[in-house]
Amino acid sequence: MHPNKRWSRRSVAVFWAPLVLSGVMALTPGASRSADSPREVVELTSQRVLGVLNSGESDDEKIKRLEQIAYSTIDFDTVSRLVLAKNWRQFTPEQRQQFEEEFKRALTVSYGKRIGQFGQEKVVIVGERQEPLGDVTVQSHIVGGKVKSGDVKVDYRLRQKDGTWYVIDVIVEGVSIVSSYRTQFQEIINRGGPDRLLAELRDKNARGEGLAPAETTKKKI
Amino acid sequence: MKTRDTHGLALVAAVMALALGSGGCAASHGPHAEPSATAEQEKIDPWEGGNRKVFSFNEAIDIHAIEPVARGWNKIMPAQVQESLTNFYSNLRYPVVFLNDLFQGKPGAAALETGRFLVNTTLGFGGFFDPATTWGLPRHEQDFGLTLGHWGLDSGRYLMIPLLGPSSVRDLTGEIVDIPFDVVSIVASWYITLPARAVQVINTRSAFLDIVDENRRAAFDYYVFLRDAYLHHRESELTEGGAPARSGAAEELYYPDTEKDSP
Repeated sequence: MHPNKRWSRRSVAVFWAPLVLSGVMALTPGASRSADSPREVVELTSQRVLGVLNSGESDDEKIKRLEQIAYSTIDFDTVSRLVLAKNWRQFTPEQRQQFEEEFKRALTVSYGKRIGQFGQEKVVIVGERQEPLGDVTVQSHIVGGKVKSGDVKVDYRLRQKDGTWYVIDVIVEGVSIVSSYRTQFQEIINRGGPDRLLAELRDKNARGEGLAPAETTKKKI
Repeated sequence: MKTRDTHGLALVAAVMALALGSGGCAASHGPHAEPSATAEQEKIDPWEGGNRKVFSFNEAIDIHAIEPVARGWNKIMPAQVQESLTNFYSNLRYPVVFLNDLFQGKPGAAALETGRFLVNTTLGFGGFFDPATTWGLPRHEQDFGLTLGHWGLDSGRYLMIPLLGPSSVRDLTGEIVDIPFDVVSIVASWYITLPARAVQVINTRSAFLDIVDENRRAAFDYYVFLRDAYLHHRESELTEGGAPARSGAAEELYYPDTEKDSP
């Protein structure tokens, strides 16, 4: 199989993992189809994800559709800026474009493996918090399914852009994905600037999941 | 091995506490091992050099011993058994949770925890089942590290502990203070304590196989990922899921200054 094909099969972004989990939350049958509040965005997205997961389609097809959902729910442009922070200025417009593409891809490559494992979880939206400068954080608990040791707290931070709310960060048990990658990228940029970061991203993407430690570990057993 | 993770529920929590994840990129690529240069990181992790060595050691132990055993455990043990064991160890944490609730001036939480303990120890058959959660008394976590934080202490320097994983000066102090209140350690002799701990470690690790895999794969530098995750998770435990105590940090995170010199 062509390597690109392999990646796309694995393509579920890190951001989606919680969204995928949220899928089972579609317990609100009558929910409105237009998602104009942050809470509705999270609820509606969860329903759409559930619809895909429980459809009879092939994994490839499911992943393609989940990808579309993620790309329309997450504001990757803003996410890229947040992750690069002050380093954004060092990047040329082309480099920024490349970064966004490679980063998106890196996330999908890394987190695509688990699509078959979701389904039994339930997501309960427990509240929302208005942040000081306009963002809204929707708080949820993921219960059951693969999560054997209790509830997992997942927060979604949303920001409005042109009248629509987009997810700009996912915070799992207090750990912000934006913050996590920002710290890691900062170290790489310190060592070799934007070029080094882009090279490492490409390298990681090119290696795909074939070289991931998880694979080799599994084979050993 | 750390006990707070057995009920730490959170993927991240357990990943961190066991800390025996693999370094994937971090371990296998020389450049990643270079210490970081930013002032902020030097402040929180001035012992990065030594910490990274301990980290590599922990990774090796996990990859070659703990994870394989946990995978086998996961295969042979029914999910209900694993869950019951998790409940059992969680229930034994009661004295630690109770006392730290009191130390933090939360008598209500301490009382609820007592109710949980009584219900689960009796109706839950020695803690193997968790009817209390069903009845609206969910488990919550406490430790002396959080108490110190509650009293206003910063986490202090980041520390990677051999076999135990990520910690900090404050949290390690807390772990040590909590030891005398740990039921498994105080009630039983070593020939019970040791196997009990071993089962606890393997059982906990087996609940986080996929998550650790995922984090290893996704991280560009797993050491840095783990450090960041640990510190942020602890911070969120301290604020109990509310807004971060340091709102300046949140503002920097979500409104970075990217506009200058931007076209």
